[in-house]
Amino acid sequence: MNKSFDEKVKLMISNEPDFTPPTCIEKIDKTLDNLPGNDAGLHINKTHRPKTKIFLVAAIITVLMMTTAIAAPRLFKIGKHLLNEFAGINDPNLESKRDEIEERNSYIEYTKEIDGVKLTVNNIAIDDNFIVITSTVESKTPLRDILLEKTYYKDFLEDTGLSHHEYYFNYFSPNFLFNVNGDEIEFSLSDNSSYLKDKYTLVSIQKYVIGKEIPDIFNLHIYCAQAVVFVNGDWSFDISIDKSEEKSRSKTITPNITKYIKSVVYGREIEHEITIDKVSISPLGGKIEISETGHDIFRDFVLKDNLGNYHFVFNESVSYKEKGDIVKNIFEFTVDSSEIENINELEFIPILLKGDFKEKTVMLPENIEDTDIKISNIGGYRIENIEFNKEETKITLKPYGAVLQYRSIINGAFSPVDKEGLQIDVNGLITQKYDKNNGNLIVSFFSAQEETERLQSELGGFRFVEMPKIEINEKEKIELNFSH
Amino acid sequence: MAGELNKQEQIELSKEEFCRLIKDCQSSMYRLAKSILLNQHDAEDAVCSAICKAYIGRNTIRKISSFKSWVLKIVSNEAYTILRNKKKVVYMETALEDNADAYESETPYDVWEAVQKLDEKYRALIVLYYYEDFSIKHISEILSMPQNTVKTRLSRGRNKLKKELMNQEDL
Repeated sequence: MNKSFDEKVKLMISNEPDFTPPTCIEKIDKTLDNLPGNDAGLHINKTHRPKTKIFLVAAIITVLMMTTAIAAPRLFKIGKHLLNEFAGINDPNLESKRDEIEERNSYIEYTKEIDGVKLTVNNIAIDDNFIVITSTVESKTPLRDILLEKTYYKDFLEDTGLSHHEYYFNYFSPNFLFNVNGDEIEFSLSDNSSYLKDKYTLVSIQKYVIGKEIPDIFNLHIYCAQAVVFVNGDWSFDISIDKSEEKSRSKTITPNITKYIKSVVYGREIEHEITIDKVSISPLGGKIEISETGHDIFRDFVLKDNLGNYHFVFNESVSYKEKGDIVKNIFEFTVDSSEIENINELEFIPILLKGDFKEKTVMLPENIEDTDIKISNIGGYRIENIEFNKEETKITLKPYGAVLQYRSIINGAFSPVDKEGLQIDVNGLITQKYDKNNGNLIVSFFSAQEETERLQSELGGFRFVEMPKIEINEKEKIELNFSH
Repeated sequence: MAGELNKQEQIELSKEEFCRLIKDCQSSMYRLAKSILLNQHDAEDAVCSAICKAYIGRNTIRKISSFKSWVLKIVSNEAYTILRNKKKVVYMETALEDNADAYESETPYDVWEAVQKLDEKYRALIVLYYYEDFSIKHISEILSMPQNTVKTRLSRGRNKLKKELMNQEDL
């Protein structure tokens, strides 16, 4: 049966014309043309064996370093320290948790230098659910020059008309992987933001969801599988961490509740057998771990606490693990750290999506805070603020009621309209960020200054997608009690 | 001795040969990157960045016949790096055009359209299996994934692809 299906698919594929866009072919040709005749101008990762003499010297240094490490093992205790690296971060995802990060971290300052590129792990913050790594990458060549020369940053700037875009510098952020007490553990990247401290130095703050319970005192091996600023090498660090004093403000339960839950997606009804394995709220955020068999991820749910507040669930970004047929999905959700003590219960409320979605326009009233982007009868967003900067238009939206992140006004449906309600085409790009304390959504339109000014003068409202037939599935909601 | 043998097996690729090999598999490179990133600009970035990296390491290949799988592994690494770094950013035109591809859709792209609707974890694998005809062993090498995981995901991905194609009423 598979064979006949496979053959049929391959036959269909053979009828599909090549869809590589001409622009891509042009870029490939340009890249190939620009390759040097030899390897001049490109970094070469030499793989030949080092000479014995060098090897011996390296061995002696290694032995000395190991001896030093054995003689004076250093345990980094998590505590309160200010993080100056936040000074240049322009990212609500991380800025909103600055106080909580500064409350529980340790200065590390471990550095490695390979072929003129330096990587420093400056700081590690951690609680039961998240780990935040602050690092610095330094190069002898200005980082912007490397981006312009070796990536498509230049084309990107030409295409968008922007003079600079910080987010593009994430290209140089290290891609950390983790090993705890010798076991490979996947920490999924939740937030990543970086900025140029000076021409040669990039500061990155990266927040990862911890996918597995880790002990209070542990050995952390951090390493990069990818090159750092195009330089390959052993970019790894061994750090011992003590987070024993960090448990006080976290609440965790392992309900192990299994239930059949219904979801309706585009008119198709699906029954999921889900198990809620773990729910945890901590100062850096919340996470809920849900296991299920089958292939359709259940993610149409909201969380409401005993204080009546909805916690914004990041249904779009899910990290998963597989064990046989069981898939475990981990969803992050917002937690206001000042409310942790008062949160005793969370309601896990499934949402049913019935009927079609509709494109709708909302015009800005005199007082923009009265703008109601009503996604459905059970929730929506209100505009809290619109800010016009040089090359950025920033709209802050406050969610109310029950809203699903990944079927929400994001996903490209949110766009500006003029005073007549006609769409304004703006050349540039959009980012969506969140205040991870209160769930506010911050949509930024990045465009050239003249485009931003045009947007400011023409803006009359926004287009979004309404989901009129979205319902709360009261019958199948699950109570998750932290006092049990 | 072993070192000598390895040396004999290694090939030296001139720039011209390298360019020819890249041109031969440029569509496969773009298709794989696009299946991971679902965004034309990012896919192009991934492909071009992979070309630079492949050029640097071109003399580490042992056999010309393994060039395609070797370069696709680099493409997949680059694409996943971009995906991790940029997952919360949407290009405005991508957003407004609802992921429309650059090609004119008068032509039949039923399988490709169905592939793009699959979950991220199935897309690259399905592309390598159906479009590139790679074996499970090769796919596991390209995507750095155990063979058993490839088998499981291929089986699930196949069922999902079947559903998507049936929704299109093509099968």
